[in-house]
Amino acid sequence: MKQFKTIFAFEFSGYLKNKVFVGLTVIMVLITAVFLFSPRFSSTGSFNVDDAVVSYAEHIQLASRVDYDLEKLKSSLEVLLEGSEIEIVPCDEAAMKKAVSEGETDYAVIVTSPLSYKYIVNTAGFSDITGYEIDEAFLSVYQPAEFEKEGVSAERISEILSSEVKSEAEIIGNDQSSSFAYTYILMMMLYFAVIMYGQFVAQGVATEKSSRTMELLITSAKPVSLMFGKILGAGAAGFSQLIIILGNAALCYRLNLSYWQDNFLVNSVFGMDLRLIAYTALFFALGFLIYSFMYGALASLASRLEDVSALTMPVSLIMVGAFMLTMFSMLKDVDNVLMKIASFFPLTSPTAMFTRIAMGNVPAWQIALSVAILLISTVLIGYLAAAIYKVGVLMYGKPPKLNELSRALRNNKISSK
Amino acid sequence: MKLSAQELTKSFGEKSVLRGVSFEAESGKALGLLGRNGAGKTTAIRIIMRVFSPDSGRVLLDGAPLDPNRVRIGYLPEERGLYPKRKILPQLIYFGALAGLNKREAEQNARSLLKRLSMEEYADKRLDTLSKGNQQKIQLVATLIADPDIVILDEPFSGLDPVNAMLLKDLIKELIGRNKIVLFSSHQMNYIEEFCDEIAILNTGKIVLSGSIAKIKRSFSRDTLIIESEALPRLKEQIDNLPDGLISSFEETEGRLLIKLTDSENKKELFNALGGSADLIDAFYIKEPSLNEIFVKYTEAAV
Repeated sequence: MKQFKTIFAFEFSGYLKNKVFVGLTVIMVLITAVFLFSPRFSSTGSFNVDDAVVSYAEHIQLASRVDYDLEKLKSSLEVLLEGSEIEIVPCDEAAMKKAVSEGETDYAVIVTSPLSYKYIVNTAGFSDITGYEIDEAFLSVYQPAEFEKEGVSAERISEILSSEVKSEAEIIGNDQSSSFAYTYILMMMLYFAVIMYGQFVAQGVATEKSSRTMELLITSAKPVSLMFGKILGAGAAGFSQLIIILGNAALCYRLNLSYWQDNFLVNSVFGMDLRLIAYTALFFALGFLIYSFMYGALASLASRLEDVSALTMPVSLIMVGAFMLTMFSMLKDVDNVLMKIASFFPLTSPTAMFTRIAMGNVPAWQIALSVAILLISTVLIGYLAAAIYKVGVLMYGKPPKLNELSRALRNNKISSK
Repeated sequence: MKLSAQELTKSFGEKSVLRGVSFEAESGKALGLLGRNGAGKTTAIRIIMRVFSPDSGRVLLDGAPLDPNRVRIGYLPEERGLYPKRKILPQLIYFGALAGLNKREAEQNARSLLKRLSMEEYADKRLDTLSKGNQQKIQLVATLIADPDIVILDEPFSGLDPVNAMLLKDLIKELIGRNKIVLFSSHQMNYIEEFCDEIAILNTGKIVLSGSIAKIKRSFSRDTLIIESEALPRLKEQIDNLPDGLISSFEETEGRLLIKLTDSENKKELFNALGGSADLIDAFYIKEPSLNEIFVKYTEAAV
């Protein structure tokens, strides 16, 4: 135990002195701080998602081939597209086309009937809503006129048209619209943390082996303490990094609370409930451990640093697969059949079950079962990893094939009895 | 204390590296493990260090199986093994702590050994910023930090300049003087001859020769004499006139006469025959084989 503590402390302090590690943490802290402080300094006062993603034409030309009240359309558009300049021009398609191509106007509309029109634009932007608003304007001219023909009074018309539907929400499961953002963020963090720290562990093991430090270590320390010290050292470093980054984010959010009041997305991220934070910690810890055990064991078989990535590739692929499945399921239905299976399989359950808890409807017994399977598998893989590591770190030459490895494991068991 | 390896065998796959190797090392003495490249020296050392276990055979300390938890062993591996990217003092303390020292002792020992090897100024440097010879000295500090009872040095002199080699020599002599078991392997026979009382020559996985260097040397045929003199031409004349059957050949090399007797028993007769010229002779002695010659003879023949 004393040995384990010594190794753990040495590994942990190694991360704290590692420039890459410290640099990464500082950068993450700065990025979140800059983002969360940005509304204080931006001119609009509040950073609003709607402003950022939606745009419309600044200058519009209107013309008509038929008998049509362009003035009415213009005034309706002026309300809908506030700030845009609307100009009525003579109906000359060639001249309007020229105006658009030369940039004099963004949008040329030629009315062909009260409910149809042709428009000329340079490019059709992805987030451009001009077309949608013009349709609205046409309807707002057409509908009252038609009602009036039928003899309905103007007040009644505006009353009918401005009717609103009211709804009252009672969501039994999770509100996916608010859980999406933070689940997404936590999933990304879980994924990157597991891959990154797993690789740190793998590199560390392989470096010790290839530099023959292992031969010195193994003469005074037990291989099991070496492996667990290394993995938990990395885990502790990772956890402190996450706590620093998330803690800093929470602090910056609190300091700027008033600026974020209207932002649904950001508020939903910081408004997640404590239960979910506890699950995050649990799945982080178990996910990290189970993957790091595998990374450590596989890296112990590499004699050269170059072999590490090839050896650990299968494990990384499983993680990528679990990540992709979860990400795609998040867009549609997190409780689909594949996700249900994945949420019990120990290598995919950290991401899959976590996401189902956050966004879907999972009975409590399923959560308990999934965690139990994951916990037992982590312990079993830990044992297996320690056995492989013990043999692997002293095997030189080409990475062994599976049958050679199992023979070595059996021999080791016999000789250690 | 007495460390003994008994009938060690070890193969890696098809290749058998050790085929029944035995040797002994005692406190206060140094044992030199000699052998050509690939003879099995490092494998034998790794077995003692429990880096891996032998296929058969035992390693005993005073008759009981060697238990690394009860006796401290310092090991200087041939391929150096420290953390290149970490600072020197912290990693020395780490190795000291793993060997069972507390942090304060480890730091004290590390500092005093660094001082001893005139390396104190590097304590806060990263290992990979040092030259090869200096890294070697740091490795030596890591080996000795826990004041081990058994010191195993695999090729300790490789990469050291003469001044550093001298520092290391003094350190090894001190270890022997402090009654430690010192086991070391080297290709450099002059160093072995300087420290080791006992040697074991390994060749293709077997011990081909072992015992005390002095005894081994005496066991070689004592039929070659060397005469040192200022007046070699006159002596040569006399030797030319010696009775037949006394010597088989003689030659002059490096200002000395090398005389091969037909039988080592003839030494006295030769001495008497040259007695009249005793005033011309500075030295008259048996030429013993050098360790180098012994090594080459045993390892070449067995190939």
